[in-house]
Amino acid sequence: MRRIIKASMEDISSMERFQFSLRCAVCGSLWESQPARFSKAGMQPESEGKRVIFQALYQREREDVFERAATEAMEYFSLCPICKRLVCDRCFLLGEDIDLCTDCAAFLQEHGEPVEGLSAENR
Amino acid sequence: MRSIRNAIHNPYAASHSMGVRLLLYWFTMALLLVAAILSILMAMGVLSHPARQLASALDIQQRNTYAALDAQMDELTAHGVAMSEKLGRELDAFLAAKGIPFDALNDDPKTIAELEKRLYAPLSSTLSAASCSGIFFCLNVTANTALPNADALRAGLYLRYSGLQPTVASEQDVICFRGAAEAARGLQIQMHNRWNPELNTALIPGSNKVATSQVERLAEGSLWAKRTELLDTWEHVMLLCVPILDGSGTVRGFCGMEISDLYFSLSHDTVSSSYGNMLTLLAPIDGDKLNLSGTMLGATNGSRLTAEGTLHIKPGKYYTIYTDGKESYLGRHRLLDVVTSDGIPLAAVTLVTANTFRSYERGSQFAWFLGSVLFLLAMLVAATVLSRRFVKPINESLAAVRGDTTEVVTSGISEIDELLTMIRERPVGALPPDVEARLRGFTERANTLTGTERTILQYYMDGYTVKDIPELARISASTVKTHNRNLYRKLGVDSFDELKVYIELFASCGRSGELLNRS
Repeated sequence: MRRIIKASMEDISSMERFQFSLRCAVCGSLWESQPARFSKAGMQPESEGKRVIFQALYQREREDVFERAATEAMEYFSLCPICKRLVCDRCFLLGEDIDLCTDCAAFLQEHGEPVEGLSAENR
Repeated sequence: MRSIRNAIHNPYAASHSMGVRLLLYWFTMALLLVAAILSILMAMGVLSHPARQLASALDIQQRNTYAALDAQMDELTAHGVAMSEKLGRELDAFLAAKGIPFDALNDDPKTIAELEKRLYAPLSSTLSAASCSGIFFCLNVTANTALPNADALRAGLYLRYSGLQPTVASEQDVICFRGAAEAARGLQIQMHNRWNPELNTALIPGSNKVATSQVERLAEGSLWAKRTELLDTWEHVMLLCVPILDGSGTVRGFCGMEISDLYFSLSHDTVSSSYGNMLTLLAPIDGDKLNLSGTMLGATNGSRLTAEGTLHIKPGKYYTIYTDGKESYLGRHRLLDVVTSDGIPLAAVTLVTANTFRSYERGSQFAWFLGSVLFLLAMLVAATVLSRRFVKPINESLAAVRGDTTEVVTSGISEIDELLTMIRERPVGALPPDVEARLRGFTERANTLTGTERTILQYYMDGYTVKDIPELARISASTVKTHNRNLYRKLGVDSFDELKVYIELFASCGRSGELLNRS
């Protein structure tokens, strides 16, 4: 699941901060991870050596934030067992026999309750 | 008793009450405890006290020593008195036959030699019969009154055994130590290498008193001269002196017996014992001092005791301690009814060397310690054997209860066998009624789960936790939370922990499959 999410996430980072996004395959809504500031943001490397170091730091911090973003996305996205797409909790239904996305449910004429709806009710 | 015997010999043969076995265990334990206490008491010396044992051994030996010495001195005194009477009679007869008065013997060596030859027979016969190393008589006359020390010189005959060996007296050679040369030659007796014709009575302590005192009974006038160096020799002797009376009751000299150091040593060998060799002493005891220079020593094998110095006597609880400051001896003494010429009583003494006894004591303690350790080891082995022998059937029975074996095992203990039978006859997997009802209700509720909820339940039954589910089921954590809430509500549990309790209960009863088989 983590591997699938990581493969689907987009990098919307800048030189100042790291952030990743994931789009629901059904409703198209965009989920963005919590932004994380680059530790050297706003600083200009004084030399070529510093620049190489900044770049290495940037890559390392980006990897860390990418892993955290994947964990965060796993909170809200499920994989539809029918169409194999990542969908948000609003578009993922809890069915009697199987959980599936709203598109597949409509196509297969299955019924279910969306996760986010149920969560909100229980909340 | 028969049931106990059977329980020992064949614990599997038939079931016996646990009470019988417990009785056997406790009986064995009581025996071991008593044995252990006895062993400890022995090791501590409460029951086996080496000092007490030594005291007992010394008492026995001392009684023997006292009896032997007392008898020997009584016998010598009796022989001495008898010999004195014979010599007195012979002297009277000789003088009567010669028709001369007693004093006429002075300065008449020929007649003295003749007299000595006549008196040889009673002297020799007494020497053969008495327990002594020499025998003598001397008369208050001298062959030469002109000599400077003529007052001390006395004509007489002194016979001794030569080359003493621990054999019977009749096999010893008799030699002439003092006496007229003519008499010795006439009697064909070999001369001593320190031979002299007459005795110097000045060298015999107390002899003057015997030779001059007037007594009515010979035994009263007899005297034991204290141990002294024999005239002109390196030997030490004790001499018994008995006055010789003529027909008118006048003391004409004295006779007696000699006990030499060598003779006493050969007569009183050491008595070997566990505590060391026991020595016999005939010693003058003056208060708390034992004068060794006046002591006749028996054999001294195994000790460094010599006839020199003084032993200080210190009474102890179990034995008397005799010490000269360097060496200590343990023993007993008892005064004999004999007083030496200087008025000091003689005592029969039995001694062992203190060092030898201490070695025995240490060895004894070590032996008891070793014995105790071995006994404890034996007890451990016995305990191991007993426990294996008696506990093994119980363990086998428990294994049968756990289902480790399919064999029908009897423990040999009636109570446990009854319990085993009850468990065996009980339906397999039977649970208490209320638990069974709860499990059945849980199974029924599990039938209401959706497909995904059942999948999640399966993951939980496989040992996964809530955190693992998103990755496994490829659903969001929110979806998992929602499913969990539904699971708990449908199954009637309040938490994941409670759900795990049910899962484990089903697993322990081998009924996990019931949860996922939709009826």
